[in-house]
Amino acid sequence: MGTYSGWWMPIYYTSAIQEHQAVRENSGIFDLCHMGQFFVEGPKAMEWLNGILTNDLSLLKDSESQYHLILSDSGGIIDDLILYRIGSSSYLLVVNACASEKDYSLLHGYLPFGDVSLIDNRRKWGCIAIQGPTSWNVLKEVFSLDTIPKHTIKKIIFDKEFLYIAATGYTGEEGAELFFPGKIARLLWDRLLEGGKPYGLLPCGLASRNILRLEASLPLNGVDLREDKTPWEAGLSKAVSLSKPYSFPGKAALVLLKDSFQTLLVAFVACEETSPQPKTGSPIFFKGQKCGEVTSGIWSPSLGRTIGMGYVHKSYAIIGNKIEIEIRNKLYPFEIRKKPLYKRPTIHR
Amino acid sequence: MNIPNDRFYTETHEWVMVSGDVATVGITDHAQRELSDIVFIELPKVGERVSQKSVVGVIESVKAASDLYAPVSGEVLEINSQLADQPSLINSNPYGKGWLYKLRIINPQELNDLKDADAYRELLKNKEL
Repeated sequence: MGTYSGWWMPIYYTSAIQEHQAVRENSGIFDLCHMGQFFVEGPKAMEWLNGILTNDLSLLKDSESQYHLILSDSGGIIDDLILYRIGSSSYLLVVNACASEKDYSLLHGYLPFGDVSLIDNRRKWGCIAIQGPTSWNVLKEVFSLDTIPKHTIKKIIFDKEFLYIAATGYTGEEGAELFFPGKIARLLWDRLLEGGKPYGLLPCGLASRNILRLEASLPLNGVDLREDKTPWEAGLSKAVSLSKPYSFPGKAALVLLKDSFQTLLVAFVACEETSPQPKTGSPIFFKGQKCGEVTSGIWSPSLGRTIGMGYVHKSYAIIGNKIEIEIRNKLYPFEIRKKPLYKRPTIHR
Repeated sequence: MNIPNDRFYTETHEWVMVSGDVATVGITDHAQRELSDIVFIELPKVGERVSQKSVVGVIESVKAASDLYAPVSGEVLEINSQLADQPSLINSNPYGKGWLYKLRIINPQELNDLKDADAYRELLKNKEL
């Protein structure tokens, strides 16, 4: 167990590597009650959110989800989030625990606006994720439902309570995330764990989640995403719409910086089978010259090598480039690779 | 907690098994549990002279990196070369196949600084309180 953004969280239950393997081969269940959940409701909800978040909400249909950022005025990343359109006047925003306070006060600062209401469900609503190739077998068994399309959300009833199931995740696998009133968290967890037994479902902690998301090259806010980096540098232009007819915090800065930013977030893999794990801040070199810094590093069971992410100067951020990373005063060779480092080859259902 | 009686221990959770003037060194079951999945190890080089309590290597798990300390002064005679490819042997068998390196003891007096199994058990108990 350990503290994470003020939450007392399981780092691992048995072994992070075993838990990682369960998610890649069978399935894993994650307690994500630390994630912040906000509901935004009202006839002008879309318009209001379009004036704060980076992506274009008008492209969304009911039950679809969209990746967004919350930026500072200078275009730096405060948080990344998944937004679900539950209905034309009802949205669910799922944000990172570490930035949820900042997110809330920023959102709150844009009120009042028409009859838009911002409902803070932090510490009231919980989240559990089931991820891995057998996750839908588990979910079908427990909720008697059909697979829902990727990236969509659906309202279901469990134990006389409404909850939401969304085909999203943070592991590079098939699966779902459940959003529900906190009072049924325990029952839901137990029921899923029990129903998942025949499908090799294992409870998974934060350590395995970190390995899984790094293999899938999904950046983590507070580590890979920071307020001194713009979406251009983080490679998240897909989350930004400059063409939508709304202004949002950071938009003007992003327009100015579109061609002049200096660094790019890259993924890398160790050239040698045995290599130490780089840490946040480990310097990166290209032909003896310092060209960047590591943000995340971990040993990857799927690749059998140490992997990571970091910001390097744009001119060196080329796939196939050999870089060196300094770890405890020694240089180790790594290679910049295409993201994601891990991608499920075929989809089984 | 597994703490065999046939060897000595340090406060930094290494174990030492002495045979003549040769000391075999590893980390304890407690240490491997605290670290969890071990994925990388850096050991001293054969022939290197190390002094008691100095840092001689690093052990990394998916959770943390931790220094390895020499329990006594000596000359490194052999390292467990299997660990480079299979560092998880330290997790699965910390007192056997997961041994780290062997030292020729230079100053046998230093063995008096080490703890026996009972004293190490006591140390862990106090740590839990």
